[in-house]
Amino acid sequence: MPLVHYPARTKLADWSTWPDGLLSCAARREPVGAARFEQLRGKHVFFYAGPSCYYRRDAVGDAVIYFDASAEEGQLGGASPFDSGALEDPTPKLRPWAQTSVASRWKRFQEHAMPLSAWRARFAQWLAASYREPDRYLDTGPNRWEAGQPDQLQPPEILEHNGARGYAQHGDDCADRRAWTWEIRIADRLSFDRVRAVHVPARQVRKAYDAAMRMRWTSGIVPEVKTLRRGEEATPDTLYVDSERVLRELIET
Amino acid sequence: MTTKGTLNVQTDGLAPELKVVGFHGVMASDETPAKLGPVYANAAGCLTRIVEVGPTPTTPIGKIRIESFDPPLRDGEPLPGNGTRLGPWSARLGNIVMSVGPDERRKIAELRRYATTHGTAVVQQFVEWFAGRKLRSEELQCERQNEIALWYCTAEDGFSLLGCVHRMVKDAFFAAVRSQAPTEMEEMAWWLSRAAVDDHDIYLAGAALRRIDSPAWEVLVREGLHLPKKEQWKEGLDEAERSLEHPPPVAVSLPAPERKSPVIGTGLSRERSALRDLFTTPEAA
Repeated sequence: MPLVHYPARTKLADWSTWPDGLLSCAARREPVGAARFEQLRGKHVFFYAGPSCYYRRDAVGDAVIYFDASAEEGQLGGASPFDSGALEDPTPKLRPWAQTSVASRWKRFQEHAMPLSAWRARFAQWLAASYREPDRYLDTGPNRWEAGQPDQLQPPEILEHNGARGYAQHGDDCADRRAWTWEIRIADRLSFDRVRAVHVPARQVRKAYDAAMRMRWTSGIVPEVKTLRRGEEATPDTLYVDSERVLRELIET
Repeated sequence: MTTKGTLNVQTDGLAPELKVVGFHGVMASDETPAKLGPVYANAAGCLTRIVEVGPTPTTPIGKIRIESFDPPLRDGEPLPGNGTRLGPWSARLGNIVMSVGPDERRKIAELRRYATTHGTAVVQQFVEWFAGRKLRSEELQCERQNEIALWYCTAEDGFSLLGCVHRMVKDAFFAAVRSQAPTEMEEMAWWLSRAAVDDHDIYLAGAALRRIDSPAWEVLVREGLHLPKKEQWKEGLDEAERSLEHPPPVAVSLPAPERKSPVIGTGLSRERSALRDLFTTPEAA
């Protein structure tokens, strides 16, 4: 499974020229708050081990980066079987804990967090236990509350109060597929040495190819270029939907 | 805060309570021609998303279901996200934003010729405006931003414009093929890939890049067609190679004959009608 990063605040033309790769806020010398969730957010670079399901209304990113599994080698960090932002965002969504105190939500996060070195084995176990057809984990139907929903989860409250059942009760005030998409956190920074693919709108294919060649210049590895369909513009939604195809093609090769 | 509700839509597709205030994405001058998705705002200036178009079980005929997001955009305020302001213009369901730029402007004589012979009446008017210097046309609902012209138009007119641009680009492409100049072939191949109206254009562009030993050719074909396996490309590339070996003579002002698209293994070739379908926006589908 590749690691999937969506630079929500930056465009391909900018981030593809960063000499040091992806940097955490702390690595960029930006201030990081003292609270535990702020420390978590500020000191790591975040990825999904799964479809690019990050969403912000004001996201400007026009590309998604897919890193090879080998990018984790020698790195420190952690993982969780859900997006920690769903517990930590200004309006938390992961029920039934979203309405509890920060301390309670941090405790819940810690119960499910694991070291970076342990996540792939635990992910394989989790896939087998959660899905009759583990392949469905990659589904990116446009309804984010239903897409790839597991058949069962531990704890069961996650599916009771989030996803399709959660939406029926709470509308969009609950977690969507971020409740079951694994989050991977790498401490401090990650270079572009192990980029596996760059995913852009079709009209930027040439720019993405040039960016991939620049990455090859430094790493010796040639990232693949993946594009949306002709006429399809890059938004968090279109990149999310097409990320299933990209992941399937990368995993199969 | 999100507000949900319905708005009226007239039988001609006009949604009087909606304005087009931008498009998704940001255009660069070397990325034209392109079809872009409109961004809407309601009468209060709040960004608005069309959820569905009636008639459906939950939305009556003559209505569209929308979601609007507070607060209203201030005048001149950039769109939140990856988008570009334009207009505002009256919104019409099914309309799109077409962009053409300096590459197309350099060939304006050829574009005018094809607009006259193959474009709709509105496309002809747009091309005349594009050939001029005016910054904006309220009647056509188009404007210039730097060197790029942005036109809020019907899907039919947008497809017609693309068809005219495509013919012009294809002439330039085969002129480059006949010249055998690698740099020119490379530039024209990428331009053709952006102006493509069917799979054969993607194969032509890919085959041209392959001829000049550009390793980007595989990316262009694979992603241009979403066909991941090389064996799926063989027939299309073979036909493209035959076209490159025997390029058409210098273009004359004659209607282009209908061209039969190849069948390529398990990936079905998209006919022009299928590409036309890509011009249908979701709310009009």
